[in-house]
This record gives sequence, structure tokens and C-alpha cells, in this order.
Amino acid sequence: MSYELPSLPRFRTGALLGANDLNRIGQAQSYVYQTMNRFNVPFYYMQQDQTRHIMHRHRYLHWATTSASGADLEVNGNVVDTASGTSGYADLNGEGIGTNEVYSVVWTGATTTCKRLYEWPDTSGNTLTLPETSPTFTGGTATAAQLNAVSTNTQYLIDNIARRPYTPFVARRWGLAPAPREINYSFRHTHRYLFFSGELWYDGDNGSDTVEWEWKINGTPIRGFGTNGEAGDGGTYYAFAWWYDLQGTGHNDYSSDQFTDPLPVTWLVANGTTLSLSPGDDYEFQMDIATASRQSRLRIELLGEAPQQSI
Amino acid sequence: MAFTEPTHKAHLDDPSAAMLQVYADNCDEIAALALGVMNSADHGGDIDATNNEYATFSHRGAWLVYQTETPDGDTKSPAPLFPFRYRSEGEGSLSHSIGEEITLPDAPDEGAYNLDEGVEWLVPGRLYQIDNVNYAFEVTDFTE
Repeated sequence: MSYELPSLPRFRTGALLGANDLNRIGQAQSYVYQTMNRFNVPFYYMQQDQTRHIMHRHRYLHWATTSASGADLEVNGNVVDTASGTSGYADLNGEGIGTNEVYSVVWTGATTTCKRLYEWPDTSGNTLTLPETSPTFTGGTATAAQLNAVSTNTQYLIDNIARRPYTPFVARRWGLAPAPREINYSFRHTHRYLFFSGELWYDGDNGSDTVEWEWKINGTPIRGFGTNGEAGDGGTYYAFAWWYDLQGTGHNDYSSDQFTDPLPVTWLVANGTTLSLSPGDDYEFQMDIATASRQSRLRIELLGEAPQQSI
Repeated sequence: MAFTEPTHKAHLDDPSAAMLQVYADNCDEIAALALGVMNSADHGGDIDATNNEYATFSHRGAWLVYQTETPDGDTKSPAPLFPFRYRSEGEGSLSHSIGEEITLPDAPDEGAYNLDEGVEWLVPGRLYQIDNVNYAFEVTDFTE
């Protein structure tokens, strides 16, 4: 079952402060806090002429690209901004998009690679400013204005955090050749543990080809994989499943394989703290494929951050 | 500062300043932690099982808003919703599939499916997958 939220109270001068009013605020805050523990999925890099969708909630559409390409950003067929730099935002007011309406977004007119595309309540794109200054309670008196400020701020958090639409991670399969090639995602760092699940399928002659790649964060290789394709009887796959502590030294791998190589996976940066990621930082996650056989293909099943060591 | 779970108040409890301050400080704390909760664009359209594509959600919201037909009019196959399948024994082999698959109602324009009413095994935090949709979002509440 999903959570049901109570409506938040409004306070009046001279009225008794009821336990029920405070409990409604407390319940709502607990709910909002819990929703922030959701599995955090990355944004898969977007090329020109590829259509994406957003369920409308906030006024500003923020974007970031790998270069100042000059491409146009179109919302429902209307140009709302141009990539004259590598980041920016468009004001969606006036585009006639209603709350909860799903609209299409596409880059057109020039070759471009978009690495972030999201709505945010204001132009900052990365800070959430509460509508009221949080009050300081002292002594034995609380004013209605102070309590209403708390209630208003809590409602703002419900609307902008708990009620935000959630996009899924989409598992996709790639043919890896010709290498070198890159598969790129971007994260906004939210949780401590990074999870990767995927599968390499190798269909060539045993031992005739190699597959090599590195997983990178902001260009730093954290993990490497390489095999000459020596497969045992009955199949040629490698099923990856690991997590990595982005703010500590922990990691775990429970992958399985049918290759007869020595286990070809190695941790290149075992200590995630050396990556110096802080909550709210944007970072790039890359699979940098150096060598791939003609028949090899990879499906990334699941990629994302979680607050604990299990999903 | 850290989020403080508010304590439940009973009738005639005398609210102290410290008790009320928890509610105010929690708002600041949540806002400070919420830097990553952006409303992001999806991964792109036409999530197609024949191409080994699946959309995976970690369940929280009551509603699934989705479209089962691409804008150019391509008719999609029925859109199933099923528990996350841990693939651990090679491509095409599945394990851990507890919970019955359902088929989402056809929604060539857009549909909103009540997950709370329609999928009894779906509890908050559970991973599940869908395919054969053009887009899908999960939300806590939905009004057209």
C-alpha cells in the first residue's frame, strides 16, 4: 500500500494548539523523509532528435550538455531554449502545460549530447528554498504565524519532494562492437551505495576474442573487466551484480559466470571516499569499452543508488 | 543537524518550545537533503520487450501513469507488469519471480493505473518491471 497523507492544519491566534494538529505535521514530515530514500536512478545520455518525456510539476526545465552545440531545445514542438552554453534552463510558464501533463522534449538542429534534463521549482536547479523562514520557538508561547510557517513549509516539501513523479530505470541491451565506445549516464548523488546489475553475452568461438571495459566515475576507473572469451560448456555469459560504497571502503560482488578465465573483475579504486562525492553533486557514470568481440552484447539490468547495501 | 522523527503527541500534552522546534528544524533538514530529488526526464520512448528493454521501478506511489502506444500510431503488444526478475543464470533465464504478472489496460493516449488496488503483492520499496510502453511514471497522487 502507498501512504495516505493527512491535510495540514492552519492555526489561529487564540485557538488551542491540539495534539492532532502537531501529529499531522509530524506524520507528513516522516512521510516526506521516507520518500527521499527511494532508489535513485541515473539519466541516460540523450542525443539530438531523441524524444524524452517529463510529467510536468515545476516551472523551470534545467539542462546540461557536453558542449555548447547551438542545438534547440523543443518542448511539445516549441523551441524554449538554445544550447549556447553547456547548461541553462527554460521557463515553462506560458507553454500551456498543465500539472501532471506529460510533455515531450527533444534537441534539434545540431549534433548534441545532453547529460541532464529535469524540472526544478526555481532557477537554481540544485537548492530547495522553503517559502517561509523556519521559526525559532522560545519560552512558553508559540504564535499562529510561527506554526503556520511550519505547516506551509511542510506542505511545500510534500508537493516538491513526496509528490514528484518517479521515472524508472530502463534496462537496455547493446551490441558492444565496434569498440572503443562509451555508455554514459549521469547521477545526482543522493545515496551512499551504487548498484550495478547486468549481463554480458558472448557468442563467438571460444577463446578467439576479447572483451574489456572499465566502469568510470567522473573519468576515474573504479572497476575493470576483461576476458578472452574462454567459455565453458553450455553457455557464454557473465552476470554482473555488485554494489560500491561511494562514501566508504565497502564493496561487494556476487556476479556469476561461465567463462573459464580466472575471475576477470578487479576493483581499481576500492575506497569510494577518494572520489570526493558529496550529496547533491552531479557525477558521470561511464562504461568505457576498450575491446569487444563482434558478437558480444551487454544488457544493463539495473543501475542506481540506494541508502543501504541491498535493494 | 539531522532529521528527528517527531514523537506522537497525546491529548493535553503540553507542547514545549523544544518539541515545536523539531518540526521547524525538520523542514530545513529535509530541504537541505533534497538536492537530488529532481523531476527528471525519462530514458526515452518505446520500451520494447522484443529489444530486451524493461522499465524498473522501486514502488512508492499509488499511481502508474503510462502510454501503451507510440505517438506515430504503432500499436504495442499488451503491457505486462511483473516482479523484478533477477537474471543470474544467463540471458533468458530468470529467478526470483514471486508475484503474479498483470497486464496493464491498453492506453493509446494515456492511462492511470491504481497500483494499490490492482497489484496486491506490490509493497513500498519492492522492485517491479513493465514493458511495451512508450512512457511510464509513478506518482503518489494523480488527477487529470
